[in-house]
Amino acid sequence: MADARGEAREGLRDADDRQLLSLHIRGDPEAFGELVRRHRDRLWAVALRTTGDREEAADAVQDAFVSAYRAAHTYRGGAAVTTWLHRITVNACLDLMRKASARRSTPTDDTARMERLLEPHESAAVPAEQQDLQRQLLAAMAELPAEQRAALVLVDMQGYPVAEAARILDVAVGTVKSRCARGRARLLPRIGHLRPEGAPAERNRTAGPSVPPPRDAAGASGTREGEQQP
Amino acid sequence: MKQPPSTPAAPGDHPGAEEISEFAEGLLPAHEADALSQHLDACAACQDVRASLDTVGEQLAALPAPARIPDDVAASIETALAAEQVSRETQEAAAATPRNVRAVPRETPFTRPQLRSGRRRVWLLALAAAVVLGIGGVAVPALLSSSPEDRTQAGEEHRLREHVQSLVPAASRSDDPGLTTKQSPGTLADKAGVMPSCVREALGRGARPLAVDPRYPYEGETGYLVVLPHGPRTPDGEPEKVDAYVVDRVCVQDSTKAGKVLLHRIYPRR
Repeated sequence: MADARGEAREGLRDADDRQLLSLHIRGDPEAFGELVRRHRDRLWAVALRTTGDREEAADAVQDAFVSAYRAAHTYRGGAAVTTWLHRITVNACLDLMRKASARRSTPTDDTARMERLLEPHESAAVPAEQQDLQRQLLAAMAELPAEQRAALVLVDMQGYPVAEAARILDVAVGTVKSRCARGRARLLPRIGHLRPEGAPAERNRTAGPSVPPPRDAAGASGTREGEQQP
Repeated sequence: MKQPPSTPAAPGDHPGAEEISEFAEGLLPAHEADALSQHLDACAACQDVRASLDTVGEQLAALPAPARIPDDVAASIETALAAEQVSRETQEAAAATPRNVRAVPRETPFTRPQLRSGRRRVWLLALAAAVVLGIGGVAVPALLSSSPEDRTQAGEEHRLREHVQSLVPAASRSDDPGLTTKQSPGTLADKAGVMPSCVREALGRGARPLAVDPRYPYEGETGYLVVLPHGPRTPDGEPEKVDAYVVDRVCVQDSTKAGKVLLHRIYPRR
């Protein structure tokens, strides 16, 4: 365990999240650390999957905890503390990704980074074909607009209820559903080989493809435009 | 990436995957949903798309979950929060001091986007070491103090007002009006009175700011907060009211973009 301050006090372990937060606001020096220990693994998973990059995820989670530490007094109790922490974390991720996407030259960078997330130990027990599919999916995830990716991470990957994802992302339930729906549609070509022969992934009736070709059309510019959407 | 507004699928004409996906989520208006439902009943190919969309969701759920937070990341969070703790305790101790060196916040090392985390952690360790060694008694709180970063709750207005008033407390009016004289040795205060040129252009005002916060969280983005005197100075040398501007900070990073004022408010000094 990497905790500099070791195990929590007995009393803190029994306190719920809200109590910990108000203890922190009143000046308790250990209460926030206990909140961190409770939530950091989940927030790490969300950040890692949202950013697709270990260093960015580390920055995002750290920024989020520092922000939450400072802004604890603004927590109004309308949402669960865990929702509030998730919201700060996802915002930190989106913030960092916006800045990083300006630095990064090509989407292939993203793709390679996402694929590295599977290696080495996490994919060891998975059959080769499945691994290949996972790689494809992660690569395609990296090319999604950030907001669609964030929604899919919460709902499909982490399994949070849509309503909770909506509270975390601070948008309407319908918006989460819509981001998920559009994101899944864009990922569809990547799992093409799982479908039976002749499935019409490309047989869209409109000229503008709702399922873009995997590589060229879903490039960097598309991703950035997507991030600008309300 | 926008498609034309979706219309009910005509016979022999397949709906797009996105439309089927929206249908599956119950997002289509009733008449479109009815039409698409009828099409699905008759079209094996589109049924297959529908099934594949479910597969996408299942496959995403089946991806291996990240393990626990790595020890080095957990440790760096501990370090950052320990520094926060020191900052908080120092601020509380300094609260009684009227001449507060925190009138102008500095860019906090660990929130600066340019710094990668590796360097940032070194910074924090250096700060922690300085604290432990008892040096930099003034400089350390000044470095660590920063705006509260609440991107999360309603009440942006209230938060901004509070933040501005804490940046330029009335208690500081006995100080010299010019920022440059307000610096304490060893801080990063030399940056304080200097706005990026695009921010100054956006404001259309050249006055020396009373305070700046280069990373003010605003509506999910990060803005550049500038506090300027409002109107002519009163005889005692300090204005009673201040103008607070939140400027889109995209121009700071990208010189091709023009600065834009996102918000302008006038607040009384507290």
